[in-house]
Amino acid sequence: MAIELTTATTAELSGIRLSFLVPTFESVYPNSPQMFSVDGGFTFVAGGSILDCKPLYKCNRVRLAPATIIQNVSFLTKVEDAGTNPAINLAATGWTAQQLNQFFTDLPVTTKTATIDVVGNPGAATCDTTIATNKGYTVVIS
Amino acid sequence: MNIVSVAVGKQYELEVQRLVKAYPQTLVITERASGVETSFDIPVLNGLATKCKFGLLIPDNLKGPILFCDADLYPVIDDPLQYFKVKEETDIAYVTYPGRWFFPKRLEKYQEAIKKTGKINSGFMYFKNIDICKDVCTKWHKEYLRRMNMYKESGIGEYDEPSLVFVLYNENYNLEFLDQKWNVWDTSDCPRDKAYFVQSHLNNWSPYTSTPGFKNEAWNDLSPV
Repeated sequence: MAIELTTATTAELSGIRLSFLVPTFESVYPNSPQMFSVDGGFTFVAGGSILDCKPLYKCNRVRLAPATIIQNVSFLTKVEDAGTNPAINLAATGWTAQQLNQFFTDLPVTTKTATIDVVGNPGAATCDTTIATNKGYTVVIS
Repeated sequence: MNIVSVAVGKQYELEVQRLVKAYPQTLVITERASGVETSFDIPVLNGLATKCKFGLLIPDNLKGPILFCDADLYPVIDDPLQYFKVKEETDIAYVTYPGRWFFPKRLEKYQEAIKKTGKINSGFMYFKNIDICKDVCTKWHKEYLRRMNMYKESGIGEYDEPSLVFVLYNENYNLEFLDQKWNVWDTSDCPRDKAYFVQSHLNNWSPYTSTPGFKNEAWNDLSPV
């Protein structure tokens, strides 16, 4: 019987923990030089043609560089502002309005103070910020 | 120009020395000053509440404009205040955070308020005279305490700026927004080499990371009627 892992952490099945089903950050991005510990979580900078957000489930802040395909955005459940530093920094990543809207759509609902910085993107002025604000995020555009 | 700063706590007392070195006439309010806020269990909140009422802790007979500077603000060129100028009719001037901001629904009154006030950065603020300064600080302090007391059970702390936004939204002072160069901080768009003043904490310290639950954003509207 197939078991769908629906949480970003672990699933329990008959007392057996299945945490190994969630890829570790290191296994997916083994050579990333831009990961460091902040407040017990991680701030992560990623780029490339495919960006998988599943390993970022512990991150409390992310800075995302341009990517053609972004997967598993729903795993960004712990992101939160730290002072004036936004939870999600997409500034000048070259994203279109369509890409931004899709990203907003895929984000989980938040109850934290979480700002998404999309300043400097081609799609910033025309993206639909309400997709994100309706989920509790603050969005800043240029 | 009368320069005032609030440096409640060892870290802030250390950081303010950069400003004092450039402007020795700076009035620095430390934890040893009379009237400093002590009602909160969290030291950072006491510091912020003291900042809100700074105008009530300085002499009544100060002549001329008042310039408030955060303790971690310091000049990066020689005597930048020689270039400082505001319009004749300006009562209060400050730098606003850049960009257009869109807030979640729980902050729709805050969203409305910043259309008038901008998203205030309170780290560098000009007041035309001591009377305006004291009036604003009386209301600012009252609003900050009101908001923090409503959050008490939740353990959330808020920075001082949302309170000031609501106060200035409800008043009729002439507001002027200053160029970014007067207050450049880490996430600002203004290049450092164009800056006149910079805000930066020392030793990788931050009140946000050192105080759990501390928010730098309005958590809820809670705006006054």
